[in-house]
Amino acid sequence: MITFIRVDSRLIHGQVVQAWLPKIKTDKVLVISSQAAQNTLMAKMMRMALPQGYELEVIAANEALPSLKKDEAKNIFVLVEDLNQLEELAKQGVALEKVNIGNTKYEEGKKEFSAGVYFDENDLAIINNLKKQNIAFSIKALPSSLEVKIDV
Amino acid sequence: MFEIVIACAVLALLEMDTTYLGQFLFSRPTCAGAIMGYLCGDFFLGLQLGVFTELLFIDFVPIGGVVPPSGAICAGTGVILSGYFKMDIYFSFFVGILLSLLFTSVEKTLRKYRSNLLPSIEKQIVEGSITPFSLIAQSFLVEYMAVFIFILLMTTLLGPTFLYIDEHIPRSLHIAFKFSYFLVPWIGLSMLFISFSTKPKVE
Amino acid sequence: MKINFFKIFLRTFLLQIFWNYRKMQNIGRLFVVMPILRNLYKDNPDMLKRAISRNLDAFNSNPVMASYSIGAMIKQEEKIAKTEQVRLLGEEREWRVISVSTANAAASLGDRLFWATLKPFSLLFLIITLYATQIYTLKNLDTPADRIAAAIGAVVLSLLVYNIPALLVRYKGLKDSYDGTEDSFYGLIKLNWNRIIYTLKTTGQILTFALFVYSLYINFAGEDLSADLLTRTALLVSFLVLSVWTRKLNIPNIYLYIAATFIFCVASFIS
Repeated sequence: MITFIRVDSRLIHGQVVQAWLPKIKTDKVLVISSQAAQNTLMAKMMRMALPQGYELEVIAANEALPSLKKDEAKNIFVLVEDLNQLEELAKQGVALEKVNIGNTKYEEGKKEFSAGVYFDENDLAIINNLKKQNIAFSIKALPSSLEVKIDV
Repeated sequence: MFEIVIACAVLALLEMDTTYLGQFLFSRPTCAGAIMGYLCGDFFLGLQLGVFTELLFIDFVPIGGVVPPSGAICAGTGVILSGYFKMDIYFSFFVGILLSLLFTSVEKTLRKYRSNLLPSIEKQIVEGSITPFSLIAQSFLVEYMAVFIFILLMTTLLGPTFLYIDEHIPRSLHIAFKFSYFLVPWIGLSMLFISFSTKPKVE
Repeated sequence: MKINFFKIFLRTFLLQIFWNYRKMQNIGRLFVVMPILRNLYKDNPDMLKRAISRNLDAFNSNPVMASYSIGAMIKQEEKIAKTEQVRLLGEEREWRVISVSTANAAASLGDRLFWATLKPFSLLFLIITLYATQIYTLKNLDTPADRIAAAIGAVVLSLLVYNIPALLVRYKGLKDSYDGTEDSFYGLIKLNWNRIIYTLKTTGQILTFALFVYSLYINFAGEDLSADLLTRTALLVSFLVLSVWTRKLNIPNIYLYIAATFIFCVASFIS
């Protein structure tokens, strides 16, 4: 069962491990990143930085559904690298309800929506599209941060 | 007046340690409070404000670039207000907290300002028309001046205002602020306990 | 190449100087490795430019533990400087992977160890030392100057409790990650970080509990049962209960304090 979904380009990072994981019932962290799934070093470093008590799996978006089905009984914290891969998750038929956006990578031409959160046209199109499928979005860096709504 | 300017300059320098320079924790409230207390002529007042501030701020962790309220600003301005303007400690602590909250917007503005400068600065660095060192020196100067002016402005504005209204403050207000000040270390100690929690999983 | 690690170490103290929302510590990271780049590419201005813009990529880590990323990046930079043209892109891609993955791992471990554990731990240490000097030595510390000296000593000690491990990690991290490989997690494997965090937290929890009980004892024991004592106790208990609830709602404690102040103001005006 998915307990939380967060989009964060830094993946396993201080904010996730120190602030979010203690607040959310989690047995397993599922990292969705096509880059990290192909790269053993990235996956290894994530394993090292995460407390051993959490299970960790690093996969690409198209492998997510079977993995989630297999671990139906566990509480799963899903960490997605970017919005494109989140869209891919939705396409695969993963049930998303609420999505937390923590950090997206800045690239030239992207517009700032909140500190550390930048979207381009493509990202906004994805958000709009997913909103139509009744998926709610909010920008929130830490549990104690103020929530920023995305109105587009 | 000269002493206050010096105190504000020292506090601004201590605040630089929070993010920009060193992170030796000279900016932690216990240390900054004690130093400011020593400067303002009442060491133990500074230390007490420092310990209370650090206990109450223990749940703020500066992770991944979020800007929590600055404990150094809270304890430091509290000490200046108490030391030079004889503000009661339970009032100056409260004012310090409000100032630290206000200061987050100064800090966020500085970070935004640098974000906006970034593209042109990157270009200049790659072209070699500006060295990272001179950039850093300039940037430090801007940050230091902004923090210094904020502290100086706030303390010299609020201090005399307090002197003016001091005798009109009703006794009931004193009692109320004393009571909430009395709660601070207890809330802080219980938070300190929770900050060491090993649940759910840390190992 | 012989590397002056001490120089790099000194520069790491300025890692966050140009902190910005878009690329975080990127300018700071470039400043830290700049002497290395200048040295590696002194005969090749084009490659220097290329290395500079690469080092201006986003970088976000914990300022203390970032050393574990910087050393590994320097090592890879040397590889890039030596490589033939055909393999340049591949080595640069490798540099990006190393940079990002070590920075993230160091951030996750460093934020938890230094910000969230060692900093509160050294505060706890300070409060215990202050208590201890009051009980055992205050009798011998008659003059105010002696008492101030003792308290200054306690503050300095608490700074050392944090800074000695932090400085060691900052310095050793550079060397260990420079000498490290992928198999040794760029030197991170030398210590069991999660275990250290766990041990510190457990010790901290036991000590804080003892400190809390002792504080209750010295503040409340021996007082006669009075209306004032009962009011204070009732207020304390109710706000501690309230703080459990505000914590669940992720409301920081300073707002609880501000709310308490307003409630007391209203209450004292009414009564």
